[in-house]
Parts: sequence; structure tokens; C-alpha cells
Amino acid sequence: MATLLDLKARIKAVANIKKITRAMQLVAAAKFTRAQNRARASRPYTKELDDILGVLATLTEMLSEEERTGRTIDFSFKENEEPLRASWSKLLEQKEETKPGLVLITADRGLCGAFNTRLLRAAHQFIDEHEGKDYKLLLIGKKGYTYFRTKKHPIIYHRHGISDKLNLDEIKEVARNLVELFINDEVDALHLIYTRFKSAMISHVTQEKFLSIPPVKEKETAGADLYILEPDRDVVFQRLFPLYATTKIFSALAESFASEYGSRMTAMQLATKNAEEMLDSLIIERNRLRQAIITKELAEIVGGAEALK
Amino acid sequence: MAVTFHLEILTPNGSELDEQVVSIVAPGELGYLGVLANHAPLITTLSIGDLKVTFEGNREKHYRITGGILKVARNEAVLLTESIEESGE
Repeated sequence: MATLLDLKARIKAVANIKKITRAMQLVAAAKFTRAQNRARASRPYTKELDDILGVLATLTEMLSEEERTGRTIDFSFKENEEPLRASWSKLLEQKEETKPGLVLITADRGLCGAFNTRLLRAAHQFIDEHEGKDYKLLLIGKKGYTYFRTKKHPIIYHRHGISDKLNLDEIKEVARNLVELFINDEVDALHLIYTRFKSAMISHVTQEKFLSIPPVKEKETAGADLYILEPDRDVVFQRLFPLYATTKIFSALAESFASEYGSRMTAMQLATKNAEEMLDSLIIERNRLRQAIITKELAEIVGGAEALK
Repeated sequence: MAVTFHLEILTPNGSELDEQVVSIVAPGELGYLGVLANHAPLITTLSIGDLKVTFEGNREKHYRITGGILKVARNEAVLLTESIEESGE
């Protein structure tokens, strides 16, 4: 049986925990609102860019075999940097994947419910599906890295500490690194797994193809060849491709951050509620115990007085 | 009444403008280019420069952009840019 002192210590501990989870909840809520707005705001831009890329993809279908292998495209992510070079075929071909790469976006920190666990599970599923192939892992976020580091998986890229303010320069760097690995044939396809945000309570782990230009959809083909491309197709593509790569990462991060904060907010809310319930029952227990001691003492006094009579 | 078309300016941080406009003058890669209503379908890259948007009633807005992409089709223009700032004049 716990003594009064034990109970008092526990009450104090639980009250402290409650204070911490409550503070974390409030911080997550504030960050969540911002992250949510950012994720929502970036969606139209991302969609439009996808559409334009779709038009270009239609046009590149008309490329001859020679052009595909012979023509190269240079592109740079920032001004005054060494451009990257790739042939059309590298960017277009939907060949059999022998070296698929998985870009996994996890959170840097924990205490956000099942957020990271779900991503790791999806990653494992990906690895199982590509069993036997020369798959590679590219990890964005500390949680995914610390998890896979101890296991024997080939990690060719990792990065963490990306600001939730989504600094474009920082993201361009990440996008460039990924594109570089792709062009240098470290991987021959990239798959992106991240959490897509729906609401504070709901988010979905999503898997998307990244970098390879998507196959053309039927309805996009109509009228695509009517577009005038200024100055010409190659230049437009040259400018569009880095924009596309950056935006893909940007929007995935925006979605991921919003989901992370939403998830943390919900998890901390639950933790605070649990602490409250625990606190209530502990306080009742303490009061009962205290009352029992008082009653016992009173009974002793009454008993003693009775004996003196 | 001037003939108008729809212009939307999008950045990764949200929509900057979403209105009916009469004309735009944008900094194309090969020099400034103007777009009026009923323009032929066009996709062009933009470089750093000034963007001028004219609304009905000769109201004008000036922006600075750091490059981007402009798509025009079926009287809908979409300008994608990473950063844009309204400038005076």
C-alpha cells in the first residue's frame, strides 16, 4: 500500500508531465496552423507546374531516337552554380527499374503519435517489394536516418534539420543533391514516400514517383502540340525541370510538416488528457488515504478516552 | 470595354494575384513580351525583370519577379514564379 508521501510525489510528477505535454501541445498547435496554411498555399502552384510538365512530356514523346540519346540538357538550380547535364533519355525513359531509390521524408523529432512509425512501415513495405534489386535509401529527417542507420540498408543520402519555414534555397540544395544522384546513375528511379496532410487528425502516407517525367495522360495530349514554346522546347524544359524538382520536394516537405505538427498536436492533446485523468484519480486516492489516517487517529483517541473512564 | 482574360500569379507560398486583366508585359528570356486576350497557347520561360499588369480602366500594377514560367491557354494565363514583389511606379 502506498504511503501518503508516495502519493504526493506521484501527483507532483504527473502534474509536471501534464504541464510539459500541455506546453508541447500549444507549441505544436501554433506551428500546425502555420504549416497547414503553407501546405494549402503551395498546392495550386504544384498542380499547375505538374500540368505544364504534362504538356512538355507530350511534346517529348515526339522526340526521335537520336534526339533522345544524343541531345543533352543542362540545368542549374541556383544562379552561378555548375550546371548538371543529362540526356533526354535519362529523364524520360520508363525502363525496368534495377536500382530504385527511396526518398523517405520523416520528422526530425518524435512524440508525434504514429507519424514516424507509419512512414517506416511504408518504407519497409517498399524494401520488401524491391527485394533482390539494388535499392537505395535517401533519407530526409532524423527519425528515418537513426532508424535505418543501425540496420544493414544502403543509405546513399541523408539530410536533417531542414527548417519548417521552408527556405527555398535550402530546399533547392536538397533537390539538386537528389537530381545529381539520379543523373549520375546512383539510382535509376526515385520514389518519394511522405505524409500528405488532410486535417489535424487525418493524414496519409503517400508514395509518388519523383523526377522521371510521368507518362502522358490521354486528355492532356489533346492540344499540347498547339503550344508555342518560347524560346524553344529545350530551354523551357531546362528551366522547368529544376523548378519541378524543387517544387516536388517543397510541397512534400510542406505536407509533411503540416502532418507532423497535426499529429504531434493530437498526440499531446491525448497525453494531456490522460495525465489529467490520472491526476484526478491520484488526488482522490490521496484524499481517501488522508481521511483514513485521520479517522484512524480519531478512533484511537476516542478508544483511549473510553479506556480511561 | 476592353477585352479581358484571366491571370493567376502563383508562388510556392500561395496566390499573389487572381483577377481579370487586360494585358500583361512580362520579361521573357529573349526580351519583354506582351500578352492580350485571345492569345495563342504559349509556354515561355521568364527571366529576372519587371512585370506589368494592366487591369480594366487603365489601372496598373508593377511587380519584380526572379524568373519563372508563363502559360497562356484559352484566355487563362498562369504565371509561376518563386518570388515576386510588388514595386512602385
